[in-house]
Amino acid sequence: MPVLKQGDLKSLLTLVALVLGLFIVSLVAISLFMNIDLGAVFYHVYESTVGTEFGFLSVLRRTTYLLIVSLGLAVAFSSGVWNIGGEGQILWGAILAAAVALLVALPAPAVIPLALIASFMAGALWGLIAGFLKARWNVNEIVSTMMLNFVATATMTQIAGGPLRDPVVLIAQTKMIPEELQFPFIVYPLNAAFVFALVLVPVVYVLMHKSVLGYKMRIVGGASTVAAAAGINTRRMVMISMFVSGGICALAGAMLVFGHFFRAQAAMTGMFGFYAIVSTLLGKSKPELMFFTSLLLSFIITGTESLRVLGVPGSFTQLVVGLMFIAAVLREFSSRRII
Amino acid sequence: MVSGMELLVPILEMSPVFSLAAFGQLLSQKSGVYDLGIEGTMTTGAVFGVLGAYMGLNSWGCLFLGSLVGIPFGAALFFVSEKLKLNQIVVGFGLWLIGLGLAGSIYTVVLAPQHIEIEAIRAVAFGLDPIFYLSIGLLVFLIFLFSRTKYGLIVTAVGENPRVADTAGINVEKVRAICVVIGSALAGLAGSYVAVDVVQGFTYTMIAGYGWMAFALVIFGRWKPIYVFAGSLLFVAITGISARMEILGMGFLPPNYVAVLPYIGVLVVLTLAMIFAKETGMPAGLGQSYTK
Repeated sequence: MPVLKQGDLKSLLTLVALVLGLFIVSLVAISLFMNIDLGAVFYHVYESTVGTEFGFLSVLRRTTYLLIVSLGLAVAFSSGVWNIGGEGQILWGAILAAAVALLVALPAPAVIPLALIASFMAGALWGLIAGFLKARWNVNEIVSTMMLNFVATATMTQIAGGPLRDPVVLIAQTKMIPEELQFPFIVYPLNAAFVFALVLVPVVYVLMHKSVLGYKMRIVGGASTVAAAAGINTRRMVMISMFVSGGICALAGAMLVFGHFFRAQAAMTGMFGFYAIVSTLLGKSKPELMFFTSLLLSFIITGTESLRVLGVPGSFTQLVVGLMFIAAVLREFSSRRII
Repeated sequence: MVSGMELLVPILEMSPVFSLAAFGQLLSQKSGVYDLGIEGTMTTGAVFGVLGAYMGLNSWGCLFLGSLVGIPFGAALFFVSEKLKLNQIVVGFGLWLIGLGLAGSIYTVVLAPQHIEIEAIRAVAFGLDPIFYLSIGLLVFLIFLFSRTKYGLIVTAVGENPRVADTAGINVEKVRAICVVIGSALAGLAGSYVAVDVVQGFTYTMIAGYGWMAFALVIFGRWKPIYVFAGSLLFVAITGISARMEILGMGFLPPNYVAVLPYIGVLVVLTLAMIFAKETGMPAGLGQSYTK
């Protein structure tokens, strides 16, 4: 298991201070804007996150999905590719996980690995489209992955509203997967998907920091001219990074199906595909740091979402997460100037 | 028999949504700064357009308010990118989510409970409104600016090679500040135009990727105003055709896919443009903060 280095710990502390500072500022702002008692705002954030056991476990539950997507995005980001297509890749993972779970009549120990492989491949191939377009014709991946998100959403609505549809409800969502495939709770509401996310941390660490392939990808991400001079096939690395990145993001979709919703539908991503960009950047694409930044982001999202009972709009979460990007850049500033 | 004008007017009518936003993005990028917050700026521009109507402003006031709100977005992007010398792309993503969140929050808290009527902007000639003619004026201005004037040359120099520009005595920061702020104001204007004239109201997803499409348009148009404008017309045509198909219920494609045809279209068109582009025209200094 990778261990935190001294410098990482220091930068992590700076980060926590910055993130919490911005979070508190935004909480004060919303309480003033909506004329809500600030005490009530802080009370709800505290209760829903660290104040109760249920709250803390909910934070960990949300961390699961943010962490998996962050690990996926980190593979692309370290290779110098902006994968903004996490949303679409999650959806493809969920579609395949639900489809395998609903259609393959085998015992659970056979179905789940099969579903995970199918999910990974679906997300990986979806990511590869953008990777190929970038590698072959230098098509901007921010545009392509964003456009592909819309197409993935349409695919989800099509499939969840079509062949796999749950006829009982009006919205387009798939039938519920069989009970024996649903992940068990470790402690309610935390389920086994959390363990899966934790296992993925060293896997991605080894891939990116201990393998030749990861080393090559990181050189391409650092300086593609150096990579080309060193005889690394830059285009191939771009494609591989998008393939792996998309595949890992898709696993978050599979985990959402097996661990949380037990079915698939278009709104299930909860914007994790976009939000995880922040936890990845805050964690500098380092797997061991991203566990902490995902946890931090999950704390903030969970706390913010709890304010809905006070009438705070759901959009406020986007605003707060957007501010965290500013924390990510400001951290760079402080680390250059002070530390 | 449909006359050419009847076919063209609906396309031209909608075109400012893309062209104004893309011109803003073009200006920003020509000076060397990516504006990835554009989707958020447009959404906030849209909600301020509606807010203007709620405050009793006429349509022009609404559009003005929408473009005004773009300025802080541009200022923030400029400050972080050029003053603090930090990553433009990351700030851009931040501004995108901040814009979405801000717009959604203001709408939910202030505007959603109200009934707001917005007066559409009246056509002045050939069934097209003044904003369309403004976009044409802007097109002519940008072509003239970049091909005939010293100022265009200065902006291009700053975007291509800020160090050389600096050596030549150009104030790089000032040029970028002006371009980025005007660019964001144009994005705000485009957003409020969607709210005031196209939708006449606000929905959370009304900007529906238009900002990203404007970003794509600048690459598609190889950083040349005329191609960017032509691309805007093409994108509107793609959006319009799929909307028509959605209404008519074209049998060969499931409706969910018809709804996302614009996004597929943008991706295909951009890819084709990249395949056939001999040179991209991308400013060499794009994306890098300049440090003296």
